[in-house]
Amino acid sequence: MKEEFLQAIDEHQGIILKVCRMYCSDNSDAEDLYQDILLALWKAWPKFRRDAKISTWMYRVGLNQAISRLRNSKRNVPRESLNFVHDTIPANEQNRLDIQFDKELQTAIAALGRFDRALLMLYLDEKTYREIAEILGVSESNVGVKINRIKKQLKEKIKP
Amino acid sequence: MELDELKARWQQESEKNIDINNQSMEQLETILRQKTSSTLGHIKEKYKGIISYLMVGLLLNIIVSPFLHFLLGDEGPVFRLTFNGLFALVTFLTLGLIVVFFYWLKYSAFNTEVADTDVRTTLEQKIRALRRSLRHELTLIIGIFISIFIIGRASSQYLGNGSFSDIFRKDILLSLGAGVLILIFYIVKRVKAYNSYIRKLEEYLAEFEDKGSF
Repeated sequence: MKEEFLQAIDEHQGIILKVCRMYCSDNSDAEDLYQDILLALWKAWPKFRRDAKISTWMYRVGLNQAISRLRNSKRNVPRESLNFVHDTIPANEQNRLDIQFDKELQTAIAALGRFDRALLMLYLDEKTYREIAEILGVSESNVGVKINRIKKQLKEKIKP
Repeated sequence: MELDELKARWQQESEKNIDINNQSMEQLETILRQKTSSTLGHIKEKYKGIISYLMVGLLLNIIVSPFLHFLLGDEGPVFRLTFNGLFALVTFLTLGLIVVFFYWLKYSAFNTEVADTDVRTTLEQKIRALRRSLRHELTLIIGIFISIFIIGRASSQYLGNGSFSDIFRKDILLSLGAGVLILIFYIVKRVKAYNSYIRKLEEYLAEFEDKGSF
């Protein structure tokens, strides 16, 4: 089980990084979310039914984690920052993330809601509407409507 | 920038980010250890907070108590440190310092480090230690409360302010009731805090037991 889990994470860890990139604005925040998602995946692994694709499952768990984290932070619940963790255990440089945040993308998504960010991320990843619907647990038609709305919003934001 | 350009950049930069941040999954255990350690660190910080509050409380008591008679209007607008007042102050400070010392012992003895070798055993030890610590704390709090009551009554009798057994006076019953309420409030707060830490550590432990040690 251990090997299987490690392999799955190793193959698809890009998904976690993408979620971090979409939902965080700096590396410290991203490291914290990266850890939270890893733990959530670890906890959810025994319940993962192999009938779904691993990537779909990872997107689902990762996005759930990111969205609920954002919700908690908006409720002003103080979170233990990663700096605090680093105070107690010397940081291992190899563990540190160095995510390149795209400023234009950050500006464009700033006004998007939590759920819309997930939709945009999957759209940018060229997922089909069916896959997006499966990951987010909504209908395909709903995905289409929402994506069109997001596209319009973004076009306004990223006018050349 | 067009939407298609944004998509292309997203994908290109995602690839780049994966290359830069490709993590070894062997570090998963390190992550769990960090989370555990941060929980333990949080408990230790709480002890520090309690000590600070107690010290401020004691200091305020030292400053305010000589003026109590003045504030209560018993002695008129004159500062006077009476023997009775001094006696009460010293008694209160002694009990307060015992509580401070108890928390200081807990704070200094609390180890937040989680051993690299066996996280499971460390978690089990920490959970046991927390349960023991809760028992100690409850015993001390209740003990201090009973002591304050007994010393209060004994000093009243010694200073000629009423008999030791004379506890059915309105003022004594009122202060006893208020004290019991504060005691219950504090106990509930501490039990809740301990239980939440214990639950968090038990969750981590359950993960190990579910899947075997990583």
